[in-house]
Amino acid sequence: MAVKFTQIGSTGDCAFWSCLPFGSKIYFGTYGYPRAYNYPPWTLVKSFAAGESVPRITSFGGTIYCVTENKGYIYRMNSPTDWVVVHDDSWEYGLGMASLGSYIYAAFCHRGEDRTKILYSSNGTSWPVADDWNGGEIVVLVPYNGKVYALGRKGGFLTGKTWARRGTGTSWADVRALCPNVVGTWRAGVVFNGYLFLGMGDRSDGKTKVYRFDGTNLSGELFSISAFKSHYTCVCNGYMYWLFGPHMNQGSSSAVNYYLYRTPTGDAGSWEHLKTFSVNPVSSHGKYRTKGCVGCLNNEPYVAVQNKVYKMEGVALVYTCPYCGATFSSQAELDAHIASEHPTIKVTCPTCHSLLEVTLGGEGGFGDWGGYGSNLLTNPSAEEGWAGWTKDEDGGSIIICSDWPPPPGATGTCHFGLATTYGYAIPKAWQDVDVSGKASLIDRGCVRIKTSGWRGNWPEESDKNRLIFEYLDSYGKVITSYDTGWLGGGTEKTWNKYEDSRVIPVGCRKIRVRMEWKSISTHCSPRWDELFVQLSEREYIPEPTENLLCPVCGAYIEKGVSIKLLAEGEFITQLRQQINALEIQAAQLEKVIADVRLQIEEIKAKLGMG
Amino acid sequence: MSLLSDLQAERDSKRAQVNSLESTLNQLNSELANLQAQYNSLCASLQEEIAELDRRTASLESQIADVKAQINELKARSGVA
Repeated sequence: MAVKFTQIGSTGDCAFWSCLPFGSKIYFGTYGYPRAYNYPPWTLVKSFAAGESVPRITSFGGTIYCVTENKGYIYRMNSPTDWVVVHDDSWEYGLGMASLGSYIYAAFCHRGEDRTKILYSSNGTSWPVADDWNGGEIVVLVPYNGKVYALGRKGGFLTGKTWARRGTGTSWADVRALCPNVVGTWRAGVVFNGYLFLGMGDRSDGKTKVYRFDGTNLSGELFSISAFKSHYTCVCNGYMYWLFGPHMNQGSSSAVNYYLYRTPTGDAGSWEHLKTFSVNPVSSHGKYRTKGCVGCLNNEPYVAVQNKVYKMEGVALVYTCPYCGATFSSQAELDAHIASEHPTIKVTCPTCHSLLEVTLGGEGGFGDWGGYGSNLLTNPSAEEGWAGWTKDEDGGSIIICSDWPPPPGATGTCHFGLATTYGYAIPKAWQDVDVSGKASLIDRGCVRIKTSGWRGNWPEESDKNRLIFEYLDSYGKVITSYDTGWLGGGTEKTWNKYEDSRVIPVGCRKIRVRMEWKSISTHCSPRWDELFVQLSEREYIPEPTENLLCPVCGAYIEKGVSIKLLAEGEFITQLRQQINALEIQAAQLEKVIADVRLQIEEIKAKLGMG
Repeated sequence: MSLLSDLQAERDSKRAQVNSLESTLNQLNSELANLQAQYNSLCASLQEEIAELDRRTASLESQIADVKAQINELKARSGVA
């Protein structure tokens, strides 16, 4: 995997501990002194009143909140530079934070005690106790399948066992499947592909391990690495990213390692090492400290290690000519180069399978387009709820609804709709269609796509939705897209179809279908329904100039579409036909030449040049 | 294999012959085009000369007619029949 990391920001404090995308920017919280930065551009937006760090940032109600450590504050952002304290707790360590439905939750630990309490709020100003758990420490809160999971440890640091509770409001209980009899701490969790993935650190064997939970059963281990804990995890552009690293407290500034991995599925064996960061811990509050986090903005991953933030970008692949070593930035450019400079193609002999070279006579051609195939989207019309779709409600709420008559030709009664949203929130849901299996055809311009969706209009000017089909390369970069733009207004509830067709661009490996909504009211409901992604293909036809005799086995191979094997008799017949055609051509040329010579003599005579 | 090789060699020879003939024809066509250009240029020049001679002939014929008219007038005045 060719990637590069470009530094986009830093802090004078010890480290970054948390991050969150919100609106068009990604926010980072620090350790050392509590501050908030955002990007782009890299900006210090807030130095908080007091405390030590910002362990977690969460969106709720159209804005974001954060908890601070060593001053048990909760802050709410009114604007990027205007944050207010909405809760001041006597428990000094705010650690976890998450929102689910109508509530936001925050976890606090008490100094010197193995005790955690969870607060909750529906309005961001009143924070009653949801759960007061005596016996352990909750490190992180993660919403999953309608409940908030409180992940951490029961017992003391480095002696207690991994433990988890779940609940909503004031109803909480232990999750027995997440309480194995293992010394350690659940350090991070993230929802991906319908599962809750959990990272277990603080283990006596010095390793961090990742597991998968389906709401009932815990499975794994899926991944294991020699690192003290998982610092942070996030989902970005179809991948789950994990940052593993050292114990927070180090005895010196000697370099420690952070390990960044990603996986498209979470399955064992699918974990891809992206980079090992070797950095020096920074002295803060009497010890050398380490912290880091990973986040995602606009499908692009960001990683913070100690006091620097990097943006991860794919490095363009280099396509090397197998004949002369020249390099190109795309398969199409390489193909053009080979066609002009090395007009040969490799053909496998159908008899002995030897690799042969055939001289090309042109750029090749295409067969006719085939018909469009079936819809490649899973659950394209909401009849199976949100199955197949990934949601980011961004503080709002998107729902499946069936209270309108369906669009023409609909296969069911359900639609994708919006329940509530606030302010700048943009709830969204997306699904990726993997087309990497057709890479060779796509890169020759041989795959065509037809996309469409029906939009249900809600006649409020402020209520809008949009549909985007993005064509992504192997690194998740958008090559091109079809975007309806924000749609809304009018006076009637109507269904309108939006559609597009094009040849899939060279380099495309994935198509992301994304529905988005926004509104400044709280009762809007523009819809999407009957989404389609269909492909059609055509054949690429190489054009060798002549038939080929396999020098290894003597088989005869015909030029053209299929490079098919010829019988000896057919081959001889073709050769004789070619000889006859050439003889006729030569005779005609000789006759023409004789005529031309005669004309020349006549003119010379006229000119007195005889 | 021998027959095939012979046929392929013959095919290649014929193709080379055709290529050579095409090359010869191209050269001859080029030479013909040059000669035709010379011829056309010469024809154009001759036509201009002829036209000039035609103009001069017409002028002389006109002068002769004038002189003849004057002679006839003088004869009439002098009573010469």
